[in-house]
Amino acid sequence: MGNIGRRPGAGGSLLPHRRFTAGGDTYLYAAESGGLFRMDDGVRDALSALASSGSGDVPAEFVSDLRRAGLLGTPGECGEAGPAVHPPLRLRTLVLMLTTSCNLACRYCYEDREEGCVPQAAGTETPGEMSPETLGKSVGFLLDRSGEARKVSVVLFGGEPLLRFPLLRDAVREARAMAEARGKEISFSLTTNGTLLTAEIARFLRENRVSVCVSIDGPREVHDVNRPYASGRGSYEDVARGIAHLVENRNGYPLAARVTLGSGAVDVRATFRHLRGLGFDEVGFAPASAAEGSRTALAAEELDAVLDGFRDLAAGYVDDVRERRMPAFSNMTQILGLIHRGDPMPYPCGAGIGMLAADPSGVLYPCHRLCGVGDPMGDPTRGIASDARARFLDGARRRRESGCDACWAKNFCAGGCYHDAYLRQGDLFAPSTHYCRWIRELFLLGLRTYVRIQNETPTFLDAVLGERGIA
Amino acid sequence: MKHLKGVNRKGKKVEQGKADLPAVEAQGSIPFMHTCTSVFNPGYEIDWTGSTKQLCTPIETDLFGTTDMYCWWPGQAPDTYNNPDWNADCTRAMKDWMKLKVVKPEW
Repeated sequence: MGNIGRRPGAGGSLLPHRRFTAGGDTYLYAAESGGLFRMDDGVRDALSALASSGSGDVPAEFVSDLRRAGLLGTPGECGEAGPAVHPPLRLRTLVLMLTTSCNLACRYCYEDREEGCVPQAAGTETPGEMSPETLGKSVGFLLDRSGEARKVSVVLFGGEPLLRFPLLRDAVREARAMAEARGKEISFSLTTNGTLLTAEIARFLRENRVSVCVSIDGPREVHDVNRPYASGRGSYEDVARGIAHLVENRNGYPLAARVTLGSGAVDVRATFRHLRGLGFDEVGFAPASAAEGSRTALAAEELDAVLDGFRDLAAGYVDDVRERRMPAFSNMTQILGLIHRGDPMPYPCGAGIGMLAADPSGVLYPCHRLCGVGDPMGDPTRGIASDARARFLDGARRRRESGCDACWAKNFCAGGCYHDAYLRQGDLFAPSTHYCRWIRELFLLGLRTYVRIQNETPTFLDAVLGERGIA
Repeated sequence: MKHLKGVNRKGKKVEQGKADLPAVEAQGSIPFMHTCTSVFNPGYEIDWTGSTKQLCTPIETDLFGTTDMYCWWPGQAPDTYNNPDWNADCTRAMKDWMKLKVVKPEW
């Protein structure tokens, strides 16, 4: 508390921030507060003086403004944050790994052992299958541990969850009944490779209000490179047929595509156009999680090409907003939501905080990607393993202290995906430094896009981004 | 603030003096959705931005939010080892709080 009464100019250093110009104005994003400001020329001069000679030469009124905005302070002043106090578990989302089996053998899959997914009959371990009993217990656990939250969500995941469609169908009905009995609202989302979708399944998903995300990488020639069956045959044709069933059975939720960008498949503009043409309402891109030097990891120049494509998609996003069309580039929607709210984000995602994943035997992990990696976080019968959870969140905190705290993009990245760090560096909590430059460029693109929309169509920001949660 | 004009929601709050804690104040806190406030800030009436949006839960429903070990301001509740069902009839605290069992030590 000692800093509240400090006189302006008595020390204090510049805290992480980013200056940029857009439409002839100069803006300032302050990472400590999450505030985005338009600044005048006086602030520009003050920042230059601060950078070269400290706050002694800067007029008090600027020092005061910069302190309030979170630009100026003495981070070490408060000392250590004290014993680690972690956010309480507020379980809202449970990912259910219905099966670890998959009918595809994608080249970049993180279920990867050596070559693609584990086919059902091969491999040293039998693929896990969730039993109806485990599934019921897991949903009960979610409802029990969601406290007073009225809305909870279940993500139906795998492997390929539609390999277990009968289980999935019963689970949705049973879970909804369980939730209703407790006065809660439950929502379901399904992530699928799309190959097993039939008209019957699509009707079920519509009637039961299950939102669907299909993993598809683009036009046939792109998709089939990385997403073949174990036999080597491409899966595009089957996925496209499945998508047609979904389009015929729209249920009011946006139909989402998730594109994994692997080496050699980085034309995001063409992919975006193609997927919009198939009927998707939202298209999101993510680089494949891959070990350094693996054949699917994106090379530096490919990451740059992705960024160039994103710049075009961002321009299209602004056009869509201006013309009152719902924009489909979902990466941008997520970034704009973060910027709009401006909440500091000490963790990269909700893993272990608002989200857990249950593996096929019901054992809980921080997220679906971390099933089997690191310590389990408990199970529905014995509850949360508090010590394992504390160790996980301790690791996440240490990561921030290892350099990320001084980065202006920390609220966007917070060190990056734990699983990606594990694959690349063998350590869940190593910051994903291989993406630093890319992440900063992407966040800067988000800031520029935000300012353009704020100047042209400000009503969009509150109406669409205002209450969107962090995934 | 004369020289900086808030653009995003947080920037506007800072400009209006609704989030004017010095930045370093926030560093020891756990500013994340659904969390409580830092120990130096006011209790769980408001969060460090001055609103109630980041609190564990609304105050009136905070019974279960403040009885686990991760809360800054733990509420007093019976130990669940000896009294496993002290809250068995209280599925929705806001509605059912009167059904909480009174736990008295046996002498």
